[in-house]
Amino acid sequence: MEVTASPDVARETWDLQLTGIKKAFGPVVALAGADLNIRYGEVHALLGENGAGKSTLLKVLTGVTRPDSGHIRLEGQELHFRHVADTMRAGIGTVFQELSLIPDLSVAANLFFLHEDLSRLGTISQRNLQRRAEELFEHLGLEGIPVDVPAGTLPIAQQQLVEIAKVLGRHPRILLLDEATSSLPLEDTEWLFRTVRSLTAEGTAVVFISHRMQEVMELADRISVLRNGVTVAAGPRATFTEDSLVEHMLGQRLLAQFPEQLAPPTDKVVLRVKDLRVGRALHDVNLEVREGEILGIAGLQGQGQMSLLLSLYGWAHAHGTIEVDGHPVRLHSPRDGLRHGIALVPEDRRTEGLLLDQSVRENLTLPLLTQLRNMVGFLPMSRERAAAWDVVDRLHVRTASIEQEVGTLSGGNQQKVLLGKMLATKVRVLLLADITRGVDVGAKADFYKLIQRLAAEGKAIIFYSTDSLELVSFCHRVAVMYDHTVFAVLSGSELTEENLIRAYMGGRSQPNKE
Amino acid sequence: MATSSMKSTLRGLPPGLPRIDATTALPYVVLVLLVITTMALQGRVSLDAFSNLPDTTLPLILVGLGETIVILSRGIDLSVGGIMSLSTALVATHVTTNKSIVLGLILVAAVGALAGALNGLLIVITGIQPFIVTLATWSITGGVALQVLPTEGGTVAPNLVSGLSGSVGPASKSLIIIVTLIAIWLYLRRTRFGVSLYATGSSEKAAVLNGLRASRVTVIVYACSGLASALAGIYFAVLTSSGSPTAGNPYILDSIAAVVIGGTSLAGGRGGFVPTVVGGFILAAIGTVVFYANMSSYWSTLGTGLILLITVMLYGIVGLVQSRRRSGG
Repeated sequence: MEVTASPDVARETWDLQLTGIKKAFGPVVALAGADLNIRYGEVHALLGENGAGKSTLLKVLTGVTRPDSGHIRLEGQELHFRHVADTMRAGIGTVFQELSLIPDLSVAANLFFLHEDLSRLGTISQRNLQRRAEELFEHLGLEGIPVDVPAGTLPIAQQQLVEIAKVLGRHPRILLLDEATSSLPLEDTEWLFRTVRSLTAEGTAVVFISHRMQEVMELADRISVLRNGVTVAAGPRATFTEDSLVEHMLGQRLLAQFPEQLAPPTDKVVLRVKDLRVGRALHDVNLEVREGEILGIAGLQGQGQMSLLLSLYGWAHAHGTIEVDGHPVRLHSPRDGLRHGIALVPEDRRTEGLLLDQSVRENLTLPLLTQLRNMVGFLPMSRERAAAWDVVDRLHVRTASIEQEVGTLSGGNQQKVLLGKMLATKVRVLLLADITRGVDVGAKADFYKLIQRLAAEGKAIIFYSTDSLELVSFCHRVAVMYDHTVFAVLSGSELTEENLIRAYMGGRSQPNKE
Repeated sequence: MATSSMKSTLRGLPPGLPRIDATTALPYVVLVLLVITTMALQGRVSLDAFSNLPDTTLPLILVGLGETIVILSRGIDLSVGGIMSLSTALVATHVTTNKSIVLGLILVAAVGALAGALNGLLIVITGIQPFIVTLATWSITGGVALQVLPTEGGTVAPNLVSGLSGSVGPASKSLIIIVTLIAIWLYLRRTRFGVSLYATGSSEKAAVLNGLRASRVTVIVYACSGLASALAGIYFAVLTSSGSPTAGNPYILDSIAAVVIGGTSLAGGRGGFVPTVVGGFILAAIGTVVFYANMSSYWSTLGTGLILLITVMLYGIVGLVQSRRRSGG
């Protein structure tokens, strides 16, 4: 098997070659020298965990993102992409993960956006556009999509088909599909696969990112695996097995410091969720979280994790039953969530929960005002200070003093203040949305301790994370989201990283070998 | 999927024509109601009361054209007031004799377009919100206008006044100008620029992913708005035969009101210039109704506010019903 950092030998046989692509967004390194070698007439699958750099690599290839260094060679010629228009001219067509249709323009206008034949007066004829749109759909074998309605009014699956048709209509030499199947029903996915096969038969190169292992094994001629922004394996599909792919995606990772022993939860169910549904984002979710339990929420991006958390917080309009301590609750707004003892610590700590212009002390004591005031309702500064120092010491918040403005702290320390506010409050269910992402190892260890403490106080904790190792090492149970529902719940000896990754892609667990 | 194709054929209109629904019809209905009210107050069926409406409304319609383009691109332009004032002041101080009127007008128009382009460049380069940038340039251009013409006054070249006022045959020249503007607009929105404009306003991110240079569109959009404001200033000078260094200020919020009453979305990408023309006429017709009802002119301000609120609420309701029907059906 060809498994090296610069894997492919015969250089001149590649039609499109990306070598040593590096890209950092501020302190976050997305690509640390990634390679990708593409040949006309082949289907190339790009695999990797969340945050491995797949989408960034595709964005480099489409001119959306400019790499910090590295080379792109098309048919031996070095290229520098500045705009999306440059890559279009080079014959690269991209179906973007976040749809690039313009919602208020008609389907026809979207299909030929700025590529229309202009009349002598420089105008665009709607009639002409619609005729060509219908011809394109017919040629591609797509039926039943109206061409004269605003693209934004179509159902998501049809929008995705229009998006694909738009790119195919430009006859690209290289077609990039970024999760093109994620919102397609089965029959349309089959249509796409047939189309991809006939395109490659005509000599087009197809690069696709998919989170479905089955699709990868079915469609790909060649596979590249990214891990931490580096291409760790590349070769023909036949040289890989599902297991070896999972292995490459995980690699040998440094173990962060996890607390040794998890205290077992009690038998008392704090949060019970029955048949929860949120529009198209979530369906048929059933969950129970017990007192003192840490339930992990896992899955690849966009499988409904955030919708689940937001609906439990009252931020998304949900159908179904939610019970806290056995009492059904109705959640119409975050205010309802908080009133019933459900609190959310969001991904973007700036959006919620902290008063950035105020001091650490003021932020920490805000939820405690009633407890701290004295008999005449006055807040003695000494009590406030003592309470604030207590939290700061316990959480190792790195702050010059408790009077420092929260906005001037580092991100990780802001997060700690936000979590610290939850201590000693009456919160029953704590929703944590990927709070350890981009946090250094030391601060992570502090978080783990703190979260365990909160669990030991009897709170039920839902811990959504994109880090599979963290989930496996730190949670009592992990619910894996796939296709907008809870696909599997892993616990005990089943709770391994391998099984987790397998479930990410809709695969069932295998019995533990040990 | 077969059902949706049936639905699209059932909709039945020839391709290319805008669909007539409750939203597009609303401003026309309001305008007709105002006209009927005026006739009822007068006690006779006649449009005489509105005969000079095109004259008095043209400056608002011109500013409204610029504002429409900016709002379609999901921006906002407050500097229209300052640019219009500056242009009026320049005409009243520099285009005072019959010599080289055309050159003078071209220079005034160019100043407006340049000031607008500056707005666009500032927005693109600094990333500051359009509201703030144009708030600042409103103040700046307004200040320059006061330097050029410190108090109301000045003179406007007689040939310029006679050339732009009065009528040709039965139609007033202002009406002809309005019809011409509409024709230019209908042409523009079918061009590459028109499509780019709507696309940028609808979803700038998607437009960029389609290979469009959104920053270029932004600069052109604000330049157009500056040009339109300068033209409004020129016509205002003609209308009053003199200049005022603060002539443009009332037109800032009125133009935004005309755009909104017409039904153009402040979120960008939806609407057009024709509804803005109707919106402008609605604002002017409110004044006519108030006049014939023998009410104090203060009432027209109140009426404007009410009409603005009511139409926007109706748009909201119609939009809600439509989206319900879509997801339900």
